[in-house]
Amino acid sequence: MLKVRNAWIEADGKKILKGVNLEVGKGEVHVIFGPNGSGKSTLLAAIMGLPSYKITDGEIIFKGRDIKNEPIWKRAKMGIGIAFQSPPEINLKMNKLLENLDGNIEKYAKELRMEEYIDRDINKGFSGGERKRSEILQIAIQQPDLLLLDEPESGVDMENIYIISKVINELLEKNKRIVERKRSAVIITHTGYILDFIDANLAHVMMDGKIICKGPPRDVLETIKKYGYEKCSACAEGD
Amino acid sequence: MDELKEVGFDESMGRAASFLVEDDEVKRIKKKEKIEIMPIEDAHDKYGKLFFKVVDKNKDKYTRLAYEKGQTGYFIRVPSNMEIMLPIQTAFLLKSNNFKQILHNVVVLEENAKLHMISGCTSMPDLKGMHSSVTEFYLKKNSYLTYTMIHRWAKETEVYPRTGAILDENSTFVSNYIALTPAKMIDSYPVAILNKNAIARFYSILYAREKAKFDVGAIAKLNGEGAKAEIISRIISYNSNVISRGLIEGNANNSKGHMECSGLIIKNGIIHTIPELKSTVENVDLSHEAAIGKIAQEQLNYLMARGIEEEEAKSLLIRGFLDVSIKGLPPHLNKVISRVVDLKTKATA
Ligand SMILES: Nc1ncnc2c1ncn2[C@@H]1O[C@H](COP(=O)(O)OP(=O)(O)O)[C@@H](O)[C@H]1O
Ligand SMILES: [Mg+2]
Repeated sequence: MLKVRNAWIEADGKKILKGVNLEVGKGEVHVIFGPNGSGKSTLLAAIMGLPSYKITDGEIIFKGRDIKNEPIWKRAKMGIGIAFQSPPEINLKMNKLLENLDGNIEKYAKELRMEEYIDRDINKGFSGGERKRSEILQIAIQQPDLLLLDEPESGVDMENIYIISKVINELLEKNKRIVERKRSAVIITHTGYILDFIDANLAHVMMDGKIICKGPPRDVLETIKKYGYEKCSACAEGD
Repeated sequence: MDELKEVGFDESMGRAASFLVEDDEVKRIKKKEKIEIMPIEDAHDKYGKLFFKVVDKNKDKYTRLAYEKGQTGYFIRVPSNMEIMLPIQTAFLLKSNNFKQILHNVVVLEENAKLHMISGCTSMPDLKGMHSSVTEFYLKKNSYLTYTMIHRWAKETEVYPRTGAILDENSTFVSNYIALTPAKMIDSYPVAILNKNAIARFYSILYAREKAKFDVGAIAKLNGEGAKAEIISRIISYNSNVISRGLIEGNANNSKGHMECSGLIIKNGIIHTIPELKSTVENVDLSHEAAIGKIAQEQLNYLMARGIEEEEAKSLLIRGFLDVSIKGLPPHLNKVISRVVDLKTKATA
């Protein structure tokens, strides 16, 4: 589904990612751990194609095609969807955006308890948790093949993490066998909280613009919790 | 006729009364409720001495014209204690090439009366012409008027409305001006004079395009204690030139005024905002804020990340920027405005 090969990314003349490799197969769910400022969001932004993030070396292959030069909207049309960590406020009724996405607005608005929000301006006066639900709502209606979720659980209370996870699991067809699943996901998580609700196949740890180790999500999380990110780099086989 | 529907004049909708002028001819007067509505020339005998009390007839060339030649227009009077739920619709259509419309309108709300008006002004496509008018509003004690004016012009039309309102104690005037249109010139600077505890709100939703020139704004004079005014504008200048003025004068204690202007510049557009606050007494609370910019790249990226192409994303942002819901306006009139915004912003980014 997705192959990021030796990606070097800079923004504003600053090198942020320094040779990142990430390969996500069809039906797989990967999580990325890493301290603040390590470059996690940058990686998703580069995959999505946000123009301020320049790829100076390496490639991003999606469904077998190098998408490095495709505009954002084309990548979205090809099947990449993103839930932003901090989405902007926009003077535009959410409904007017959702109508453009050709999906089941009613069903997901109901499941995510966002029915009253879709008549409001996007993210205007939304709490942190409401913004996260609004992001999941949009991505659910969009139904992309690759979900890029940037800290979907941060600032969300227990009950709503449960609601969000339910929708994500449904999108990821977690009730089917892995070989039958069509969608994949890359989930950034600071706390690892989301792992209690969503099964992931592989975890990566990012530090200072590099992926320094990978392994089974629970084990990696344990190591980080016990010894911090630094030790995780020591125990890793590298990449 | 689509031209009329696009400015809110729609006879298939529920309306308390209708008044239609083409060039200088009153084409239609219909009414359901016990409102007084008649051509201005018929009202001269009965009410004439009231006229030009709130707009100075010698203010400029256009007020003189209206005073001397303004035989066309409406007179509307709502008797005291009468609340009209459905809006009154009026429309002025420029139909003949090079025609100069010279209008005079008067609206009187007696004590405790309540009325919503929707007033459309438009021209047939590709006409040259001029529309000039004096419109006077007399709001008596405790009355409540919302006045929604929608303009839609051809590129070569010149437009000079002169509007004045006098608000007696506790009355409310909500004035909405929607102009999503080209025009050779729109020059309009309505004035409201507020007495004790009166409230005036001016909302402008402007989308100047195709090298249009707008010089527009509002003045509120807070002459009575506790009077309140708000002047709020959303302006897009698309390869056009917009001057947005505003003046709030605090002339009485405990009065309050706020001005807000947000502008969006597209393709070499110009916006010049000139907000003025003036206070002649100590105890007033006046403020203004303004922000002008271009379409925010972050917002554009956000929409494009949902698979919306750049041009469509821009047009959505333009639509969203202009789609404001106006306080104190009944929902169906807010919907009329939304529809006009939708129609006029489709695929124009
Ligand atoms: N547009 C940008 N311009 C300049 N620096 C940026 C930009 N975006 C991110 N950065 C910097 O890159 C580093 C990584 O940021 P980010 O990817 O958001 O980290 P994370 O998501 O892991 O917290 C940070 O030091 C951040 O300040
Ligand atoms: Mg981040």
